[in-house]
Amino acid sequence: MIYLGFGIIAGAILALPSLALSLLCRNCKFFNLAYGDQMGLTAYLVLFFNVSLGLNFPASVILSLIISAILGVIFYWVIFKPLRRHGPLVLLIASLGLAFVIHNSELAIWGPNPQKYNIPFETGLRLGPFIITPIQLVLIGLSFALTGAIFALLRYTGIGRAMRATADNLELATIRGVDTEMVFIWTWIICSATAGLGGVFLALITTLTPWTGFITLLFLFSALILGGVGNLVGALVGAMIIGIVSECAGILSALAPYKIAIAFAIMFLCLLIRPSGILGKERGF
Amino acid sequence: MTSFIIGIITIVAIYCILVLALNIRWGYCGLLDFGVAGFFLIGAYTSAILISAPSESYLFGVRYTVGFGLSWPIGLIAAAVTSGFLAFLIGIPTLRLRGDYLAIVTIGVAEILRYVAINEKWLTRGVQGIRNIARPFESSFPAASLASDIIMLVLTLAILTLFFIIASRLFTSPFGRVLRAIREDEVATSFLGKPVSHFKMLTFILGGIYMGVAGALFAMYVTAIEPYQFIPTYTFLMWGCLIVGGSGNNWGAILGGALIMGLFIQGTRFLPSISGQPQLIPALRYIAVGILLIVVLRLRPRGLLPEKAIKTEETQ
Repeated sequence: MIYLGFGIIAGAILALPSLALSLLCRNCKFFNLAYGDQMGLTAYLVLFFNVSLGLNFPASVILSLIISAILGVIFYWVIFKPLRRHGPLVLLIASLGLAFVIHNSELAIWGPNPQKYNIPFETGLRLGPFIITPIQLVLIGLSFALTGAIFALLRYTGIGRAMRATADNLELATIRGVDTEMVFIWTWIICSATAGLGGVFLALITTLTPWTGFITLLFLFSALILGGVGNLVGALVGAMIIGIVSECAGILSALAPYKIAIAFAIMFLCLLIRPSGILGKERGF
Repeated sequence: MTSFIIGIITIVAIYCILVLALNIRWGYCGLLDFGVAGFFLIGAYTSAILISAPSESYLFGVRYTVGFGLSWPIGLIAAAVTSGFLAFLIGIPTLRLRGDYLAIVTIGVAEILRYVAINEKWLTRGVQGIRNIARPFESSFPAASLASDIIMLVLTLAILTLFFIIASRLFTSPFGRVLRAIREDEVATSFLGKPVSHFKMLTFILGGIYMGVAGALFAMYVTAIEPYQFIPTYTFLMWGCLIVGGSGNNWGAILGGALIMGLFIQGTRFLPSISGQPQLIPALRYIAVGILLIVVLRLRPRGLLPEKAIKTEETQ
């Protein structure tokens, strides 16, 4: 039961970045491999503001999210927009290059050792059969609230509707007068900020190393493919399943080092049986 | 000094085999493979386990049994077989889907294999790695001698040349023509009656065989392997070599390998390291390769040596 609790926490923490990654993949039509390292980078920025400059924690998070959003737009302008005409596979290679630039920048600046934020240590509370710290409770609450906010944004605002139209059919949206350029920029802003927040959440419940982002990226992609690429609800379902199953595998000590392998085994089975994912459409994204 | 230069040429030649394999997969057929390090790992560990002498030691109460003491050609062939088989297994669910899925699955499988190498200590000795791997003709020429280095160099260059000739023949053959057609337009190729998945699978397995043999050569050359030598960074470096050199062109692949792995990575080893910051210089190197990769993709997407157009009767 304790493991189920850990699984639910892991799933809830993965849900938010997984949703944003799904949104990014759906709108920009490629898998962004630099996403995980962008999460890690934002978590390190918070570390910089919080520990090195001594700002208080919420202020450093907000500052870092703004920087992450700006970086996202810069990545889009400098790298991904000019390469779009070469097709999704070249974009993937470029994002691999970007991922390694970010990863090694983290390594060069902050070194390979695990880092911790300057926040008080908390003891776990017992909630029935589960053990949870107050910070984890807050994070899960925030994660669900922001997930709801993103869905509301897509459903009820003008830019959200434009985003959905662009994702469905870029040419048709352009013809109908949707400013698709603006849509792409907003997609990168929203997804980068959300990625950053996801990175901070991860750094809060685990430790922060330059490899955190890359490992998380693998979990996110298994969640995405399991749920169905381009389906936002699918991304949430996938994140919960991957989180719960990979944490529950920790019961067997032989499987404990292989959480990521479990996540990938699930994805592998999914690709064999139902390549479009649990909730995905027939032709992917 | 001589043995040092021989060593650098050998290691760069081994990496060039990897870049060549990547060129067959991506440059010919458009298969996006981000798992180079994984195929390299499986080849290295297969040959290392088969070649090294049977030994049993008790360390922290764990019994390690590594090694079958087989001869080195068996190690090379076994590395090719296991790596090719791994490619086959990965290919089953992914090759019939969009190319992106292959990229994600290979990147994950390579990482999982590295975890297996770290955690399954009974087989791989974990992070301590497998040591004292025998080189070819070790009984006559001990591992530290110049003669042994020269044997490794000749063997590596011979295999590189053989693989290069095979890859070049493949490029101009009817088989290679179908591969390029798949790369350019998969749907149209399948409408011409070509079994696209079958061609992709064969290409993917061939790339796996190349990478497995490269891994076996690597294990014999360095004589001690550990999981850290197979981090995803190497996959990324091979991509840097191929894109900078020119994908679709085998000479481009070799040039990229020589430039980036030889001049840039090995050649900057002499730079003094900054005390207290052992990670800084390697990290800066990889940042430079990453930026170079993106710049080449943007400004010269076909690389230094672009793919040659095939002369046909119409174009002449």
